[in-house]
Amino acid sequence: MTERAQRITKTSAFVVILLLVLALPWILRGTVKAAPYWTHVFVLIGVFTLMTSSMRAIFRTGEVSLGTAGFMLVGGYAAAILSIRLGLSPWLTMLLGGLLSAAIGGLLAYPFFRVKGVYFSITTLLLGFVFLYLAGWMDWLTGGWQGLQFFNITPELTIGSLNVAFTTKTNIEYYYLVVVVVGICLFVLYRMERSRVGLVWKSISEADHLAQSVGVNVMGHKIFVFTVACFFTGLAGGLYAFHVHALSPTSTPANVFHFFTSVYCLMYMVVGGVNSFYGPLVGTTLFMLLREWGRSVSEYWPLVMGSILILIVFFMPKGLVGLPGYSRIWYEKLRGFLRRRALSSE
Amino acid sequence: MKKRSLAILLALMLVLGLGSVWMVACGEDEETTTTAAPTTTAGPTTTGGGPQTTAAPTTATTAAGETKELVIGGIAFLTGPGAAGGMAAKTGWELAAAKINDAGGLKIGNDTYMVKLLVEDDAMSVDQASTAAQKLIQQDGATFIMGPLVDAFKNVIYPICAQNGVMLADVDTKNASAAIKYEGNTDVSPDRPLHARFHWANDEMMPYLFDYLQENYPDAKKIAVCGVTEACTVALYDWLGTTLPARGLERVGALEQMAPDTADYVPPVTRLLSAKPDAILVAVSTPQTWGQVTKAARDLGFNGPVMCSTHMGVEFALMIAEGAKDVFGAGIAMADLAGLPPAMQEAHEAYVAKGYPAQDEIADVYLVGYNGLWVLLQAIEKAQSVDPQEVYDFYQTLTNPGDLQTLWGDGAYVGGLQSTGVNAVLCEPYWINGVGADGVQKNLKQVFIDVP
Repeated sequence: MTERAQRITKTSAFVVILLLVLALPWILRGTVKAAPYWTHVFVLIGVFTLMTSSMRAIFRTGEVSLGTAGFMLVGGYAAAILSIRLGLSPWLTMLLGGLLSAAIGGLLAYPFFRVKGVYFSITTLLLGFVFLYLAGWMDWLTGGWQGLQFFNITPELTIGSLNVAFTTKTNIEYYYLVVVVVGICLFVLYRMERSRVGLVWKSISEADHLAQSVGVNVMGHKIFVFTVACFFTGLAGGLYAFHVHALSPTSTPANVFHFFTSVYCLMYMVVGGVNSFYGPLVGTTLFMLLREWGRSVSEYWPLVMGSILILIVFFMPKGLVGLPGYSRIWYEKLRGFLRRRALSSE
Repeated sequence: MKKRSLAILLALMLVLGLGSVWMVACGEDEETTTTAAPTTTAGPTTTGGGPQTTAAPTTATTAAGETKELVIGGIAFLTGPGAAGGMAAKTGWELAAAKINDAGGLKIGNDTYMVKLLVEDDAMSVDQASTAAQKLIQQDGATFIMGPLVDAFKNVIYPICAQNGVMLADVDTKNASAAIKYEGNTDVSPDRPLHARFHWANDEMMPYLFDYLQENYPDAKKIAVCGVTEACTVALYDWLGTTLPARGLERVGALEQMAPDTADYVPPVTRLLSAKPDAILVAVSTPQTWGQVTKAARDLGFNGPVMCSTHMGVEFALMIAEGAKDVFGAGIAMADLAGLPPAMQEAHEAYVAKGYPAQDEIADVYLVGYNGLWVLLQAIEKAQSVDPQEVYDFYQTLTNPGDLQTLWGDGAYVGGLQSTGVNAVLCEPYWINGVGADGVQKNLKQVFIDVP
């Protein structure tokens, strides 16, 4: 296949997927009984995809951040508090939530990146806990352990005489909001990864001393990508906040702001394919849909998830995005095995 | 070239996104009219402005004498650290549903409705609670939702129920009733139609605990107050500042709030004891708080009574504070089953028959779940309708003592108009359980919680 044909194929596939994503709520309305419920699930998938992709952006520099849930909390709480206390528009506060998250990330990035590997992961993990407990204890600001509820605050859009409220009534409006916001964020992340900066990140990941020796500002790049990722994670927190309309810092493992959310994002990333930009999208979508279908056995979910992860790591280290390639290899292996058996039996 | 194609793609995305939003806005009317159709059947009609297809599965046909299915949803934490409580509530709901189904179901007009109970896990997470409610209502067709057990989540579930014309049945205790004013109160109120409460709130139970305290510990005048770190605990503490003096008691010391996952209770209890109280009140408790506070108080040499206004079997507290005496609170002691009403004993036989231990420490929770669903089903049968609005309206008229039966005893009715602004609170008998100076766990006193 020529390069041009490949490009046309890729672009066509992208447009088809895009159209499918945009038509999804309407497809759901026509095919399933509980369209609003499934639309709600896809809204959450969109939010988690953005978080996982942001985590992967940091991973491109060779570090695993486990503070994703914490930065999501910062963005979500900031957006909600600014809207509740100051009456600011959710559109503005979602952005401000992302910016606050980025500012905190930017400030902490330098000391955090002074350490590497598991030490970096531990510091980000603990930071997530700090945010969680601060949200619990600063009850004068955050509502404390009881959390915040703000059902009367909804993003609205007025275009001429048309007024659209992004409510939870059908979830469709909010779905499109998430598609547009997450789509733009993913596009930015994609462009960064495919640009010269992305190559620099890869060089840092593979040999940071070597990269530094040829003039790459390793610390500068790490701080930059961490700040950007924190911005997107904070934005995801804002999107989450105005969809669920309630935030709580309870320290139960299932709480979205708990450390386990960061671990789940890591799993989504690995299962989807850590080396592919599409990995987080595939991993998050598959796992969250599986989790929803398997509600009746939710107590066994960590077991199922862990087993899938182990199998993927052993048999498909490139993740699910590598499935077509693995299928070809497995097919060839099987064919070779059968051929050898046939020859030996002759 | 590359830049141009990317710009085109981005523009395409934005245009399609905005186009979709416009399509949604134009499709609003269509949504309402298409989903209104099921309400034209002769069966119970649905109310509320949201998508109303949820009632359709149970009301699509109305031929005389048919056996139909009534879907009732339950939301509880079935996984995570509090799973034991959620699973107990689920067991209670299952037993109550089985009792009604085994007796032939609910007789509504000429039809018979078999209860189909579906319980979903909220995992103590806001979004999981929201997802669970949407699934139960939109996918499973539930028209009545019980739970969630976490007080704060009720504000998450209620709007979803209201939008879909589904009745929210609050079957567990409420930390603070609508009479206690604070931001985020989750109680029934006139501006929360289709929300009914089938159990008491802590502030409604407290006067009876104070009565018991004054009867049995007349020298105990100074009360130190603690509880789980929540806005309602602060509000209850403020309320006690005026309530206790009116009874000749005194609130001493500052409020000690304890996070749900507190590991060391000695520091807060030390501060609590520094006010030299005669008794300690745990105003809002997790399954652990009451026992942990009691243990820490005894370890620190405090021998006065420790009481709790969140319902709990005293066995549960004594699992932590082993051997403690002079401990009492709202709840049922399963070690003292003999003196309890026959309905509760019957329920407990069914519980034990399922393989649970007779003196299960968590039994108090399953009983609350059982009682809640039983009362809801009575209300449905008395209303002679499975339409949530009709049941809610009829529930509010059950104001005569004895209109409803409970596990805890006879004489229950619906009240609460004066204190909550709406007649949607179950007034019922309940029990104070505890351990006296003799060290025996028992049900100390039956009280009737009358909510004006």
